[in-house]
Amino acid sequence: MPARRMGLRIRARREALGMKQRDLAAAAGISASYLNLIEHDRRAIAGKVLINIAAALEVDATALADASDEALFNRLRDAAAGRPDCGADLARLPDFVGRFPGWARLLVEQARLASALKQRIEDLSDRLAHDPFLAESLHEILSSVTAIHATAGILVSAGQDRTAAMEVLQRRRFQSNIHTESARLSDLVRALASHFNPETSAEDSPATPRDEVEAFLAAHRYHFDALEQGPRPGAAKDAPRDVAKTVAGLLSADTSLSGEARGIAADVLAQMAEDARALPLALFRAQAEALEFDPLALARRFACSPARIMRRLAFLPITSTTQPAFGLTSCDATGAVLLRKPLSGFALPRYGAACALWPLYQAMGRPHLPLQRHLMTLDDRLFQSTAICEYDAVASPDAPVMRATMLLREIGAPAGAAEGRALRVGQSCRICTIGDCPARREPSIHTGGD
Amino acid sequence: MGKHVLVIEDEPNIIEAISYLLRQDGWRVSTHFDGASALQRVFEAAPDLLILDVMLPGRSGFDILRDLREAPQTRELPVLMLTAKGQARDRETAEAIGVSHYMTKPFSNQEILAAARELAG
Repeated sequence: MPARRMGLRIRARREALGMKQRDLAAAAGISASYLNLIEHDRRAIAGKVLINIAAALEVDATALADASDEALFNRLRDAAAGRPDCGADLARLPDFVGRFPGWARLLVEQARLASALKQRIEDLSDRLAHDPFLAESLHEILSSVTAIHATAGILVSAGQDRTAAMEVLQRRRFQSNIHTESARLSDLVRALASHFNPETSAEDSPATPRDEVEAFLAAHRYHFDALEQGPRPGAAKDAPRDVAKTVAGLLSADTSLSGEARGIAADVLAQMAEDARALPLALFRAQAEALEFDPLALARRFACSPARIMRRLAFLPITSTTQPAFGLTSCDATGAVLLRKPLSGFALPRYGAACALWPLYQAMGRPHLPLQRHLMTLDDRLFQSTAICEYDAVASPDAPVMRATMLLREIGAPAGAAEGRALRVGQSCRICTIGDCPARREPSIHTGGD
Repeated sequence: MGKHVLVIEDEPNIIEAISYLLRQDGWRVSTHFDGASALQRVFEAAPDLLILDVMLPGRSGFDILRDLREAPQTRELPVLMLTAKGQARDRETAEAIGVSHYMTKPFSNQEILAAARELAG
């Protein structure tokens, strides 16, 4: 364990307890001169010596580590908690980190990689379960194969049975049909291969117009300086035209978007511009920091829609280590995802049909009333969620359009009370392992339908 | 004159193959492509057997079958349902609304001929 600042902590703790250096040295089984070197950070310690000193100071050995080590300890504890069957001895964690810091970092990195891969698998499973392109392609392939199979069977039977002679024209038609269907099959398979080719359709490669928009927003880190400028001085009446011009300018600078994606992106950017006008960046950031990034407190402070606050929080550029990272998902009444900002550790499916327990959907039953809950993921990570469902009755008074929005923020290490109140949720039934879930709508691939 | 079968399917090459097979087997074959007008076509044709695809333009085969089972003149009509969906849930849906036989694509020519003969028996 690196000794930097550890000596200072040992000394501060000893003095707080009113212990003399020689008393602590005796309790730890070392000489007073050696303890003196330790307290001046001139000797690195680990293992038994560290544990003995910590015991004499009545603190956990990890409390004597510096902040970076504390993060390492936490990650190792997380890794151990995820595999209790491995029998990792948490009491000896300080000893392990102290003696083998490189191995400890390697283990943490491997655990992080495994978690990332698990997330990727979940995303891919979700894609397989809900990908409309895949479902449509499968249907087309089965239809094409059926036509080929039936037609080829007829031709083979006709060739074998001389009593069932087939007219030449009919035979040519069947041959032509097989040719047509085999070409169609080739196109379908080529399109499918392209869809799943990791070089061209990995997680970051957009498959639908909304995916393109998401990739576009992510490339800009969900922030556009041009949208933060506000209307030209004295041009309040022309503000919408200004926004449209700004949006058009932003989109014209990007050649990656398809026509359909461009239309969706224009709507998203226009909404971001409205949010920026209603909640100017500097003022919003100051209030967000003052109110600890609490969306509902901010909604009260600015007297505005919680959904707008949530979007503004989710897309607020991160400028300090104390600023939390937010994830956001927004859907319409059918559950179709309209806007999504991913958050590490909490998978947000792209194609709807997520976990019915999510407050995102629960909020639909109580429009305009915000819902705030702690959520525990299947790998025991704790998140705070804030959700709201709002109707737009102005644009469409006869059939008000519903939109639900959920903001997510990880709450670090689970605290006892928060953990107790947390709702355990999954991502999607197909890949969820919660066995007795009242909201389950289809069997899990992990439980074989149980 | 053989028995009359109406094939409602939107894939022209499947229709042509099935029609040929059934004609060779002695059936009188009528065809229809569209789901939205399928119900009217069944009432007009009054076939001895209906071969019905599930995914049709305009209206699903499940909805068509549901209406057929509610109409007195088609309540007992043998219906052989074809689908590219092979999931158990789809089969359960079809059986719950009164399908006579359910066959998933791709099927063999012998299978569909055997099913047709049995249903129109």
